[in-house]
Amino acid sequence: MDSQAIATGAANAAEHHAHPSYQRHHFETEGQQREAASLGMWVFLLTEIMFFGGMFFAYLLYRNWYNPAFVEASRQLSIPMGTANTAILITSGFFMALGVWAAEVRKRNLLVLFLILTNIFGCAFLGVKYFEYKEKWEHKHIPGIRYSIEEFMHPLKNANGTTELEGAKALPQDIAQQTEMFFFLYFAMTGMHALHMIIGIGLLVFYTYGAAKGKYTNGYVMPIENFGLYWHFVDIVWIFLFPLLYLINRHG
Amino acid sequence: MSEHSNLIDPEHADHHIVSPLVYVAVYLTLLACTGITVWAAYQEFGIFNPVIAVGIACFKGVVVILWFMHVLYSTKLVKLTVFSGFLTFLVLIMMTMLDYFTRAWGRW
Repeated sequence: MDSQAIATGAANAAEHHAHPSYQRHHFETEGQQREAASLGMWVFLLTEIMFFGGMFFAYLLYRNWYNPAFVEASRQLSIPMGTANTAILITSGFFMALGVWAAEVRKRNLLVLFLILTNIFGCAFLGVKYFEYKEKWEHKHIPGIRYSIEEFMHPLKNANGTTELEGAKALPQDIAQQTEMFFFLYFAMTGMHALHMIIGIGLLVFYTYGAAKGKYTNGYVMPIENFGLYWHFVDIVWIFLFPLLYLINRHG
Repeated sequence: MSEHSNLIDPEHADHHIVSPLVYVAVYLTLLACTGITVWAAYQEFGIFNPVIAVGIACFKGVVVILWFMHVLYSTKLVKLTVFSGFLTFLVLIMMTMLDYFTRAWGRW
C-alpha cells in the first residue's frame, strides 16, 4: 500500500520532493515522521503506566492495610536474586541504549551485537525469575488452593534454633492469611512484567533479523529507537518493583 | 531535512545522537543507586525507609527517562506529553489514596 503510494508519487515527481525509501508518503520530512512515531510511542507507554499503575496502587493500599503480613511475606523473597536481576536488567537496558547509538551512526555489526546482548541479558533475567518462582512453588506460596500459611505461623528453624530467614516472626493465623494477598500482588506484578519481557524478547529476535539485513542502519533508526523506549519502560517498572516488593522493612 | 523544515519543524530540533560515554555514565549511576538502595534497606531510618527506597527508585526512573529514553534531547511536544502523563498518574494515585484512607480512618 505504502510502496504503491510512493510509486504513484514518483510519477508526479514535479509536486513531490525526494525522500528516503522508508519515509511514509504522508509525512513532509523524515524528521516529522520520526517525531510523530516518537510521540505515538510515548502515548502508548503512558497507557502502560496507567495499566501498571493500577497494580502499584493496589499494592500500596494493601501494604498499608496488611503491613505486618506484608513485612513477613516480603522476607521470603531473595534479596541477592532480586539485586542480581536488577543489575542484569540495567545491563540489558544499557546495551539497548548502545544499540540505538549503533543504529544512529549506521554500524550494522555493532547494532546486531548490541541487540543480541540486550536479548541475552533479558533472557538471563527471566532465568533468575524462573528459580525464584520455583522456590515459591516448593514453599507453597503460590496463591490458590495449594497456598499454605504454615511457614508464617511456624517459621522454619535452623538446627541451632534460629530462624532460617533472618528476623522472621511467627504470625497469628488471621494475619498469616493476609500474606496470600502479598503473593497475589507479587505474581500479578512480576508476572505482568515478565510477560512484557517475553514480548520484548520476541520483538528483539525480529529486529535483530532485520538489523542483520541492514534495515536499520541506512538512516531508518525509528523502529530501534521505539523498541528501545519500550525496553527502557520495562526496566523502569522493575526499578520500582524491586524496592517495593523485596526491600520492605528488612532492618531490625 | 528539506527547505520546508522551518515551517513543519518550528522548533528546528537538530537530531541529537547521544554519545556512548553518556550511556556508560548513566549505567554506572544506575548500578550505584541499586547498591545504595539495598544498603539503605538494612539501615534503621524509621518511617523514612520506604521514603528513601521510593526516592531512589524515582531518581533512577528519571535518569532512565531523560538519558536512555532521550527525553532530555526531545522536542517540547514530547517533553510535555511525558510530563503530563506522569502528572495525571500521580493525581489519580493521590486522589484514590485519599479516598481509601479517609473512609476507613482508624479501622485498619
